[in-house]
Amino acid sequence: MIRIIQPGTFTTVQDLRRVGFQSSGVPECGAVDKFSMRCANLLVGNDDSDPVLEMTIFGPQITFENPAVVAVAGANLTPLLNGEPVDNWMALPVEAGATLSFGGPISGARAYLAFAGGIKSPSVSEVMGSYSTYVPGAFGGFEGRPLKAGDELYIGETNSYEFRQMQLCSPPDFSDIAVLRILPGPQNHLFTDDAIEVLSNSDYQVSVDSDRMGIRLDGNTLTHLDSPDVVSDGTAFGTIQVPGSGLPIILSADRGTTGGYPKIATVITADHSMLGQLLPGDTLRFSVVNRESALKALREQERMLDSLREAPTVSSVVEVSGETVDVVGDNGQRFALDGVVRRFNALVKQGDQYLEDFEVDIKD
Amino acid sequence: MIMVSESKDSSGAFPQITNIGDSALMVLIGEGVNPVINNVVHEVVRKIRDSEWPGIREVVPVYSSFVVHYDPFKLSPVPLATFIEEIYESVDSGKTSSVRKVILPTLYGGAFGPDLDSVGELTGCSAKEIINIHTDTDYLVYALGFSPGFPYLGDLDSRLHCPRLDSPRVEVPAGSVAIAETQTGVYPVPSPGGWRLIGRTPVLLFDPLEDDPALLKPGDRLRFEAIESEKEYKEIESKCRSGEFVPEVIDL
Repeated sequence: MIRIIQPGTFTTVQDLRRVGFQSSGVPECGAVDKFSMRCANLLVGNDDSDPVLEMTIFGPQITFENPAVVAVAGANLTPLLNGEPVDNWMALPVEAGATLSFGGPISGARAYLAFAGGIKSPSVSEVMGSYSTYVPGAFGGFEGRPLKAGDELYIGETNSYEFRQMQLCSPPDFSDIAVLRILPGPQNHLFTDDAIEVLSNSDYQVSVDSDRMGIRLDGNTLTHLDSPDVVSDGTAFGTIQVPGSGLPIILSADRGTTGGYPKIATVITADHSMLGQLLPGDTLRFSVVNRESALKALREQERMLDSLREAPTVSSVVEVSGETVDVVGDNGQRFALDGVVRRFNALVKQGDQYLEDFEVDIKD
Repeated sequence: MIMVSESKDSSGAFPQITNIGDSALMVLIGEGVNPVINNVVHEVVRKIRDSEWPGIREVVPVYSSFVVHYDPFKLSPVPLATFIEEIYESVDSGKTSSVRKVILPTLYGGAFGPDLDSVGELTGCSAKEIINIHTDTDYLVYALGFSPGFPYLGDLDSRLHCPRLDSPRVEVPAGSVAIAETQTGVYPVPSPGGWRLIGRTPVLLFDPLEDDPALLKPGDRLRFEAIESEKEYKEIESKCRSGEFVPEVIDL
């Protein structure tokens, strides 16, 4: 079990998404940055769709009643274990009584905290097939609300879980200016001919009114040919709608299921993660791409997740003989290290001897 | 020849199928808010869902269009659009496979419909006339949206058309029956709102803990039925909560 000492700015339970209820007006919800959320889960040996904590800008302070294995992925919110800095993007064993806290945002907006074995009932239960919290509707996740001080959540017991003691080689960098790749449509014909050009040649600033529903932007306005109202229609994650003000709004996880403003373009799925990492005041640009490159980028993300999924777990053995390093899985299978794994500090075997606390750097 | 474009073509032929990003299609069946077009939307959506085509995640109908969310690793837009067009061609626009009519008991006026008097002043109708007119129509549920379970209802009698409130209420109670401009609606969950409240139903329209959380479905007909007293309202309310009362649903 964990206890929330300080809840942080806005910490909610989220899984991947809620599927099948948009026809009833229920938003899909789920982690905004699904790539980071899935990494966090895979690092602790979970299913990538298991519920995690989504932490926003200032993370929570949490104490652990029992030993656990956790991973933080996504924004760098300065994770501290018992006050000592720890790394994002890797599994961390946590002892009973330990405190995990966050020192403040360095880059990005949302970090994901996964627990080996997940977050358990009765703390959370599935609502409409998902653990995701929908705060405006007060359902899902933990009592349908952001966590507050004093909340207690049951998490998986570590002894019976394996986790992946590794890091992502090249985790996403949220400190640069974000470039969001877009596919025009479905309603770019409702704008002046130069609108896509204006959109892709301008710097936009993330407005303070941005949240899990959408990211409002300040910058150059886009001009509608006619009325800024259309008959309400469906929306998708990443759709850029433009109300009468001419300023674009990028729709996100908690977006309304219907919308009545023209939609000029849509952010490609591979860049949705970035939508979760934008802070008010951040600058971003749009770049028009084609479907082929959108899918190529998505495939690359999936490959990184696959390499995490296939990575050896902590009960694996690293054999050191001369210059070469082999990683051997639980079933004796040898893993080819494709550059994604940077460090492996589990059980290391030299000859017949196991070495303790041995750290191997594997050259990319 | 199926074209999936980034933007709608200018030929004016329906359905018009366009990409929304790399994992969804927008399918426009016609223009405007029209019951016949809306019926085709629901018929096509029903057939797509029944097909259980692998890779289709979710189909979301609205007024005259629907969105198909799909897994881009399993489906490509052109075969999917071809499939949708075939289904569209197979749908008889005059036919409706099954329509439900849901009856919502509603207490009009008083504390439950605090704007009934102002609607009377604006429309020149008496309270009784407003109730008679409002309960005399089977409203088409074009779609659900705005908030969980909120129905976009069709065609309020023109005698009841009146403007929104000058300043919206911070919180409208769940079950409030309201009108504004040419529309009528009912709020399933408490939310801010600028429509004029003429009554309230004790029936729960949205319960997130139910397998099927929304009482109303796109394509349903909704009829309001006046109840006489607060006593009756409270009785229905407590029976709703205990499961002894379920609103009447008629298959048309």
